[in-house]
Amino acid sequence: MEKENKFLIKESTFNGSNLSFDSDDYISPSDSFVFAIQSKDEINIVHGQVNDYTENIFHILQENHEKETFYIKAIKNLIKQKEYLNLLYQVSNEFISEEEFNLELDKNEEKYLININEKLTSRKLKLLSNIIDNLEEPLSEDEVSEMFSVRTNRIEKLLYNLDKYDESSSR
Amino acid sequence: MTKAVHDNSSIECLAAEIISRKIVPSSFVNIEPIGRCFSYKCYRNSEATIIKELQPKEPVHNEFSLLDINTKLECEDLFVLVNKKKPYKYSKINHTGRHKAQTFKTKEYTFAKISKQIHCIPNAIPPIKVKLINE
Repeated sequence: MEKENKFLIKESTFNGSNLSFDSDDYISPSDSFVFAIQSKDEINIVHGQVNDYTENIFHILQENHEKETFYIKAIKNLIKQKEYLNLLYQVSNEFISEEEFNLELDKNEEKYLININEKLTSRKLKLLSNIIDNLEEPLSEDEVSEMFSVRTNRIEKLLYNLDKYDESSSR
Repeated sequence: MTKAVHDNSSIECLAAEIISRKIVPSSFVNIEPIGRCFSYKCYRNSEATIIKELQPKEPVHNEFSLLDINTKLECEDLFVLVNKKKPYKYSKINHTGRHKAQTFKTKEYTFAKISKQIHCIPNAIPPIKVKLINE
């Protein structure tokens, strides 16, 4: 491989922190990986060649990270829903007046308001369907939308794409 | 009068009458392009009828929504969005036979969609589509 297609990782790139590899190493940018793990004032660098095994590990790590984003979103939205239903319970039982209810919603809107703004892609839908399968609880499209903040009208189209994706990946 | 009974059928209007055996408030949501609204879930023997049409008569949320006055959704479960700052209180009525039901009339933008059709009705072929506007 020609030298101009490679890059040199220099010590200065990492602000003078401790490096665990030889800074004169040349690595091809297309088939290498670098991990930087920071603990207090020390950064440990792990680098190596990408192969099928490491690629699978990165894929799993990325999926887990994306799934975690969905879990956090769902927990946040369920807390918001709980807070809203609490407030509604109070106004229904006349513990607070309607004016107080409206004022609270206006003043602390972010505490109660669920934004449904996430656009679904085939990849996100695959992760979501995996999460919902693990829940073992039937959820309607509207419940999924409210829980994960996703706009759900493209589900049918995406499911079709997902089938095609699965077919092609199994070949 | 048009009557829709299949999953994903929806209506949009400026006023609607909602009737169901069980109406449950769900959450306070912000959905583009409707804005902030309250969502409700209606379970068992649910209906939604358009009392006042949209002006201009163009769908805001779902391109395939029914918009004509007196159009009715009849189903098991219904999902309702109302563009209002204050939630509705329901009243009880005698609905089918000896069964009581809960009801409320909206006076603002309302979107209602069938989330579960009555089980003895065959599925629509092809299925009713939902196409959100501004997607």
